[in-house]
Amino acid sequence: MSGLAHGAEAASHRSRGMTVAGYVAMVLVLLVVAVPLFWIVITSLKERQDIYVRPAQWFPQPGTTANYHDVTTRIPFLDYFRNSLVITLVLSASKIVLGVISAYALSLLRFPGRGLVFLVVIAALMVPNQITVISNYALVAQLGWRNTFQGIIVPLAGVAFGTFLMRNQFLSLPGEIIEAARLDGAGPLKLLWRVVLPMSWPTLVAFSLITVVNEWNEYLWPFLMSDDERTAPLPVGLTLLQNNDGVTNWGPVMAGTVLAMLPVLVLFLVLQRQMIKGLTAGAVKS
Amino acid sequence: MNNLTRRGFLGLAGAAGVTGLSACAGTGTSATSDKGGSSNTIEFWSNHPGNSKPVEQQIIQAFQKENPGLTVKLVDAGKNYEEVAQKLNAALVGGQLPDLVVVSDVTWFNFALNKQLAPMDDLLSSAKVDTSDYVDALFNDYKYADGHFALPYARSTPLFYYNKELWSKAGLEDRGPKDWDEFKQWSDALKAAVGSGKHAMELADGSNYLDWYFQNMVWDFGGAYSKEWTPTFSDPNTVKAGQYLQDLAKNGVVKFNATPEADFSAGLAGCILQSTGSLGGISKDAKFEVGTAFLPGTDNCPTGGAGVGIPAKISDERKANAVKFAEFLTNAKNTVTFTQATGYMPVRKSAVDTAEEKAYLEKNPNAKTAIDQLPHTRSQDNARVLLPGGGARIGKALDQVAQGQDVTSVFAGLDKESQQVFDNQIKSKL
Amino acid sequence: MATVYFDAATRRYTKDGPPAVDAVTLDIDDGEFLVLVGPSGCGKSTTLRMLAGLEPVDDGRILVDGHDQKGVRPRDRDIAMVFQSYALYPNMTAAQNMAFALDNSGVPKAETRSRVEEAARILELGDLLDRKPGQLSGGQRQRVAMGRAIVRQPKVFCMDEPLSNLDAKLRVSTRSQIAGLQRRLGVTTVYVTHDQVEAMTMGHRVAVLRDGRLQQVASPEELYDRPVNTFVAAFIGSPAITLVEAPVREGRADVHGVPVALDREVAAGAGDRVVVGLRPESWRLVGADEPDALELTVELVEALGSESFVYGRRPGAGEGDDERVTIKTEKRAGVEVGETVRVRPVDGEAHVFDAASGERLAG
Ligand SMILES: Nc1ncnc2c1ncn2[C@@H]1O[C@H](COP(=O)(O)OP(=O)(O)OP(=O)(O)O)[C@@H](O)[C@H]1O
Ligand SMILES: [Mg+2]
Repeated sequence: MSGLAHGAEAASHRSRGMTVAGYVAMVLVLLVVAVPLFWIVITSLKERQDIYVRPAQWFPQPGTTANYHDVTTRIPFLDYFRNSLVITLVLSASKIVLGVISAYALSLLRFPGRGLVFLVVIAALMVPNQITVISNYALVAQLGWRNTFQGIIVPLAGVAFGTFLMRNQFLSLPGEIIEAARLDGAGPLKLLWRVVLPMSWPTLVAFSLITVVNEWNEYLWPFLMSDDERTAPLPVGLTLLQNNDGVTNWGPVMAGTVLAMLPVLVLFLVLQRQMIKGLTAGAVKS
Repeated sequence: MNNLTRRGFLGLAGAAGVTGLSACAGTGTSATSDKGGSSNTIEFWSNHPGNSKPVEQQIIQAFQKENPGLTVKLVDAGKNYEEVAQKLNAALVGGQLPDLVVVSDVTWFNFALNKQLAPMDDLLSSAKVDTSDYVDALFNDYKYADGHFALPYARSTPLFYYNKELWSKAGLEDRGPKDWDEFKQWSDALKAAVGSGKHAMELADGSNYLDWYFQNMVWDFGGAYSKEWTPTFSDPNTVKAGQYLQDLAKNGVVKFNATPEADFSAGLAGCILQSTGSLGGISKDAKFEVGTAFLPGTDNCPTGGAGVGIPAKISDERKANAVKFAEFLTNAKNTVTFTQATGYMPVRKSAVDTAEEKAYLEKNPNAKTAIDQLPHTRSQDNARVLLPGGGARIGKALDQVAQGQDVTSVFAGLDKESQQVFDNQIKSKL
Repeated sequence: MATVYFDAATRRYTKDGPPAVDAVTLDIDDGEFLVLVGPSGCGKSTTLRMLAGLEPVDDGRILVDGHDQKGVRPRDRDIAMVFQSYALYPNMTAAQNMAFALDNSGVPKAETRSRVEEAARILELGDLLDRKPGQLSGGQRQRVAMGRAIVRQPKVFCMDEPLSNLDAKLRVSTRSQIAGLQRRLGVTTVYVTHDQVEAMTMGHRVAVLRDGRLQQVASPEELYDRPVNTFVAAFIGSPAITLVEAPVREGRADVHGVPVALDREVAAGAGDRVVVGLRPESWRLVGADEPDALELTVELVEALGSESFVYGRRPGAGEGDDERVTIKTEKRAGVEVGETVRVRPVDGEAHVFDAASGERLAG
């Protein structure tokens, strides 16, 4: 009896040690991730002269929201924000839909030339971005699409990565479940929607999140394509706050960065819960 | 690949666009002559140097009022000169060229060399522009062969910025050093006055245009980066300058830093070399009295900044309109407007005679320093501004010198590399 | 409800290798419960999958109700399959799993519900309908998988070792449940198993496969009593039959010195040598005075309560399993390990096979 109690105590000791270690690790990670973030937020709330003083101010004294006012008035922030939304939403939606559908076709539907198409996709992944930029530019310019949303969006809608990622995900699903669905009379769309996608949810969410963040931060192509605030997204627009030959006032830059970060942060918080769920539990015998 | 085959390809992938345009877009036709662009719209690609977008818009308004048939479209062409060059490069291959584009002291030459910028002399003379009113040093910065390939626009020089409080604490006269020798004599007093953890002087590091500021130091010691196209880094005087820089670092007088202007404003550095373009920002940020002075030495201040050029492959009509706008943008009145808003240098000789400028300089003695220094400027050495990658190459070498590597061998390496770049990339095109 | 006819159906996974299923011809009656057995890798799953349309038929045909199934999509075959793994949809509840096929074929909601409830009642799944597969035990998942097949009321059930993951007790009860269910529903069923007992008790007929080739299709009794070759004889029956190769002299086979009389017919067809097969119950223990008996050293005794199995070896025989003789004895034979016993084959119970081909010799 006492031996048992002793054992239990030892176990709880060990687990307490582990808990402490876990917390230490978490605090470390938090510091690494959070301090720069914190600094950005703090700087965005400082007055101009307080940004560079030493010793550094950890809390803005006095705090000010002038930088935020500055961002929204000195540059057409709302235009850039709208452009970013349009570009990100349309691009992400088309990338996700195309990625899922093409991956589905390449993994679960049988058609002649399937292997070849997959090779082409892989090849497309290998082509470095810089190479395609010039040819895309020529194409878009010919179509007269410079400084238009379609000029920015269409060339970026290539989804080799998504196709690749989702195809591998679909192929990793237990084949018998898919056969079971076929026998149960599910057509291709129903199979995708009711069986394949629900089992692939975590991967799909991760893929979507990566896509959204990527598109939201996309710089080079929109920069080349857009001429002004009619189409330029936030990352391009925010550079107007930086003085390109002289002293940059970092307050508004940081404020702009904070504002640009918010939507993605919110999306992440909403979606990250979805990512944790493992969804194939109990599907097949182990 | 035409649209039809692409569509076929997509159909094959289960009616799903697999790679969009990115995988299989053709290179299109290379733009030999740019058909796009309308003849009465002038597309002006600018990175708005010195946060100048509002002023640019203001000047454009005035231009359109004077020329009712013409519209100017201001395009956000990048966050720095390199990005504008990148965007221009894309357009040169892909088509849809601008009419007027901002080119910096290091980006213009490559475009000129490859005949992508139009020589401006004929255009200027048929537009009856009096080029003699441009500050000679600034105008001639864009001379190559027997043409000028840009007009000076957002031009700057380095200035010597110092902390007046510190100067008086160190018991120094309220002025900049006459030459670098004098600065060396001052350095002990400055070091003592500034205190530990701070530095007598800060300089930008090699990735932040140390090579531009060091140009002045080299000239002061009688050296140069190059004579015409011949690199002269191994010249004894050039090496002496490098040694001098290294000694400053060794003795803890100078610290190298990405943003010395920030430390200076925060009182962490006694003096800095910085562009005139930073004047406005530093005056706003600093909580002490800021002094400005000529760079040490005589008549050896490098110029810098950017001009505006016209692409070679647009129609003559568009070129004529473009030069009209370029002239307007840089005329006496507008260069005054522009430089007062940004801290750049007026590019016209007659600018200083305008009433506005006189009043302005009265109120801003520090701005006057920059203008007074203008006659003492000198066009930079080819090895930095005209050789591809020159600035970055020299900057990297200077970083090595600052870290204590042997000056003679580092500079000998620079000589060799610069010569190679010239032989491979420039020689045949001259 | 349908008849199924395999007409020399063949499946080759690789071009040059041996076929996984080799010209199987098999006629399954309407409402019949056919059990498919064979060693691992012999092609049982492949045969089922061909029937369901999940594998192509490379040669030959498969007819359902007389119609060639070539080119008919799996979903149009009206065949329900219970997979070797359960293959449940993890994102759906047990009820949704069962209703999925009905939803797809547009069965009215009300009918779907009543069919699912009926299946749940039969399978005793009532309380579990709202749980997802991850929240069910192995046996419960098994029953959901069964339910998914039942609600469809298909023409044919294909079941691929559905009980292999259950514990012994659950297996016994589910075994009789399935057999009873099939009898009640009358759906033609092809049932794959490894298990001797399942094979012998569940089906109307048993088909034995070996390396993709069909060996024998017959009722369990026939299979046991008249195996067509040594393979079937060895495969069916537990503990296994004892097979001894024996020379034939004057109408008798000489089983290690013990003469076994052959039928005249058999003796006529036999060559110099035959293989004699004797099941455990075809031996009896004899006393020391009886002639023509085999002496065995007892290696192992399995006392199962109602009966015992004695495993013995002749003195001087090799180490291999095939030299071992298995004998079934009374409840308490009083035989000990290490002891020497004398045994004789029971007259007329020997199976005789050709030594070269392994085929049963007529009789
Ligand atoms: N997809 C496949 N590709 C190639 N060979 C296969 C494939 N599936 C099965 N085989 C081979 O075909 C033969 C028959 O396989 P099958 O799955 O039908 O065996 P089984 O009788 O069901 O075995 P088990 O009792 O172990 O389930 C085996 O040799 C197997 O290796
Ligand atoms: Mg199997």
